[in-house]
Amino acid sequence: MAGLLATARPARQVASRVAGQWRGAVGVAVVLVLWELLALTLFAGRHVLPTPGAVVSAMVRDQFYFGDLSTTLSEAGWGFVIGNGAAVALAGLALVVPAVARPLERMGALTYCVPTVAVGPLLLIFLGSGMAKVMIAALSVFFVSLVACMTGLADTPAGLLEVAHAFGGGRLSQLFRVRLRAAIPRAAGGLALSAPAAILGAIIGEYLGGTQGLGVAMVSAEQNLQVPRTWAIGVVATLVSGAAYGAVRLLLRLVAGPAGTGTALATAARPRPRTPARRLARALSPLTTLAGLVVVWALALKLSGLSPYFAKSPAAIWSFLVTGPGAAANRAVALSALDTTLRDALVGWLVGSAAGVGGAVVIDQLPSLGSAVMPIVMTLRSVPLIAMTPLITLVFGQGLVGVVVIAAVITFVPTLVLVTSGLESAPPQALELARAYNLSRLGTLVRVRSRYAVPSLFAAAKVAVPGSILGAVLAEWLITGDGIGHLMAAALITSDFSTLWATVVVVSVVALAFYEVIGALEAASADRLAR
Amino acid sequence: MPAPSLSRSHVEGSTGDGPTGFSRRSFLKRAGVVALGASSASALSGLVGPLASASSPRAALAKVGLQLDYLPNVQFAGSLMAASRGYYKAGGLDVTILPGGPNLSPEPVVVSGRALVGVTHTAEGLQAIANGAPLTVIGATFQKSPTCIVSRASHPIRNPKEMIGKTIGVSDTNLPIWNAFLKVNKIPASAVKVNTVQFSPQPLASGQIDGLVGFYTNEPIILDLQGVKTYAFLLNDFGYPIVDDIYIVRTADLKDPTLRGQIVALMTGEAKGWRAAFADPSEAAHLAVDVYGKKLGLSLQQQYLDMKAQGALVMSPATDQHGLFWMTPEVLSETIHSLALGGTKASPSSFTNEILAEVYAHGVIS
Repeated sequence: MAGLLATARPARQVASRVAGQWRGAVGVAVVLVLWELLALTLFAGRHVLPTPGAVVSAMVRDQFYFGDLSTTLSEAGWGFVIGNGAAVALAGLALVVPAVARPLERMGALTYCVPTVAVGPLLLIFLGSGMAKVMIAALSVFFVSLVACMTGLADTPAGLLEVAHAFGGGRLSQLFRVRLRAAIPRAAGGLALSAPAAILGAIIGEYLGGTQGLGVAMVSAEQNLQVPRTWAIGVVATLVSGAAYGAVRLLLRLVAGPAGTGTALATAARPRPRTPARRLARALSPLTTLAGLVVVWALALKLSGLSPYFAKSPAAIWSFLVTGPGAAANRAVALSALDTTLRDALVGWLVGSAAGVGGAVVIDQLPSLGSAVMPIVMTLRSVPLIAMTPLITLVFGQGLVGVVVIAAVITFVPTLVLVTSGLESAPPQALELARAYNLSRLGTLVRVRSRYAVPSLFAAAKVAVPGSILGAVLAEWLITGDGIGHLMAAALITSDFSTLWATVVVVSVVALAFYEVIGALEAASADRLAR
Repeated sequence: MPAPSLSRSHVEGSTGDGPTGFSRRSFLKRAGVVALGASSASALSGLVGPLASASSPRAALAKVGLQLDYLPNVQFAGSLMAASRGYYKAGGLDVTILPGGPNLSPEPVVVSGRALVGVTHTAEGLQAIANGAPLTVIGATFQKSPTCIVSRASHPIRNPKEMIGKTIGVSDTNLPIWNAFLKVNKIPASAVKVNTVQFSPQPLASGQIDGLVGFYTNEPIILDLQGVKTYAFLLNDFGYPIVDDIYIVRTADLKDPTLRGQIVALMTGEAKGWRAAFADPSEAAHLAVDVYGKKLGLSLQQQYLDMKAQGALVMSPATDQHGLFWMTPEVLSETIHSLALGGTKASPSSFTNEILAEVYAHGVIS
């Protein structure tokens, strides 16, 4: 992300970039010293926070978890390839057949917020243990990459396309010869973010069991109260995720030249349709997507011939929630859990977004601080939250605060990155004008840059809202023992597959509804800006 | 991300006489990824994990899976011993030991046919059967469940009544047992504060909770070795008698002569394996620490003590008479009663000793 900021300001001189790296190093050093102090004082004897020295020696003694690392990276690598492959292919399809763009985006959002906790055991039955872990990694990257690729492909400079057209290129050859190449720099941010996401997905997948892998090693270390080892594995996972991010960015830059501003994470807001008929069609479109999913679900089960004990059909879930005996009670359980989860997610999202926007403003105002903080923010994105839960619960308690912290961490990073790049996307002419009027840095932010950051705020929300639901469910599963996360875990333990499927459906429908609302708001704001 | 590692990962020693996994081809077929093409296929097979290996042609051996309910360790000493000493192979089986994890339920894996036999917790297994899983229980490892309440010796919780007013850590897995245990001891749920915990004893060590629902053979030993002295009592000794780590199979498989034969052979291996593990606990601990759980960072001392502690829970006068895993009518009716307290309706017809009767047809294995 430090690289992202650096390339976003190509005018910066090498000297200042070196200074930025120095500040980054200072930021990391400050964190290390604080860590050591905390471990020796506040957390001494609590079996939670070991000293950095103890962590390093555990790491060396365990040979940097090389075997575990290779297992996890192999799962994550295949997840990365499959998830991104699907994202690129479907983004290409959406360009050639624009009608499928919206439904694809929606399905992508669903894959992002349906908790892998719930889906993992089902995937295991369908695919087996190894492939289930790969698929969880793939699901973790698909959405962010899909959005990045769709935006990247849609935003090819018109000039290039005209040239291609003039040389007789059709839609397909345009796609392959021009758009794909032009899209890579714009999609780079999203693709790079998907690398740590794949690793995190693989680690969560390993909670399904195994004999090696970072997730397996972490579970075992936690269970055996090997605290330095738990942290050492967490640090290795974090460093490798960070390195993976950097490596993918570098690779894409080598392939396609310097990255763009990184706004490719944002979906292209489509202006609102003007005619009433089109408006109606668009309002119904999410329902069509849902109906399509239900049909696919029903057909897949019918064809697979799986045991109805765990493979529940849409009709069975409908009866469980709506028409069957006890449906009212089942619904009450699901809705009350949903209520808790929405509260957790909403507070997490608000806190995470506020922190993200605040962070972006600070970085804009104090660029030198930004370069010190960015490596730490980057790290935050790659930390396996599961490893951090003991610390989070100890520090923040098992109540709402602990949950909010987890949901907020998931929300914070995309908001910070997108709003930062939004603020930077103010056109040079507007900035020239601000300079001519002798506006201060703050004045420029308030009067000029903030206007250009509005779309990225919505774009951030589109990623962050599903993210906060995901975070809330994860936290409920790990910490609080209530809400949808707990309901899913309990359903799994008791083989209550009706409840498990029903919660997946409920979360999906709610997430989709939020996604549509944000999309509509985004389109409305695009309308206003366009006027 | 660097290019995904394509190398096959191995745990040295885990593949010798041990469980040899699904062949690459069958794994890929299952995974439905054949379409990815031949070049990626060989690389993908690396994902099968260290318990699998490219098996040499052993036409005579039938390939079957055994799904555990947790990571491999001496809790499954019999299986590790059986694999290592070739007891499964002697019965014509090539057994893949499928490790469990915190987010895994063995029941669906057995129902789907990915494993011939599963090891699961009693309340989970019987609740699954109540929810329609076509499964039958064919034996129980622990005659007395190791489920216990662990507390710090400095603030001991010595019996259920002493839990009142305290904070107890309960994982989602143990929630059904916990509720039943409160009920049988006539403690209102509101009298004890429950914190959801995962699988780490850390909240107890750092004093966030006063007690923890754990495994008698795990947490107390782990904490003791980390310098936290503990007190623990078994739920089994306070009104909640129940067997644990039960063996489950598909009910339909019991009627298929081939599969039934394989189940008998597998359970014979288990019985021999457990006997061997009790005869040589250091070997069992070594297998868990250095071979099957090599990457888990297990402590040899803890696994050895764990193995020794299991003896009193797995072996009883009844198992000396009838053989390991045997479920006497008394034990069964107690178990069913305990399950009912937790709201799980179990029927005696969900349990059968008929496989064990075949295993011990020529005398009890000792």
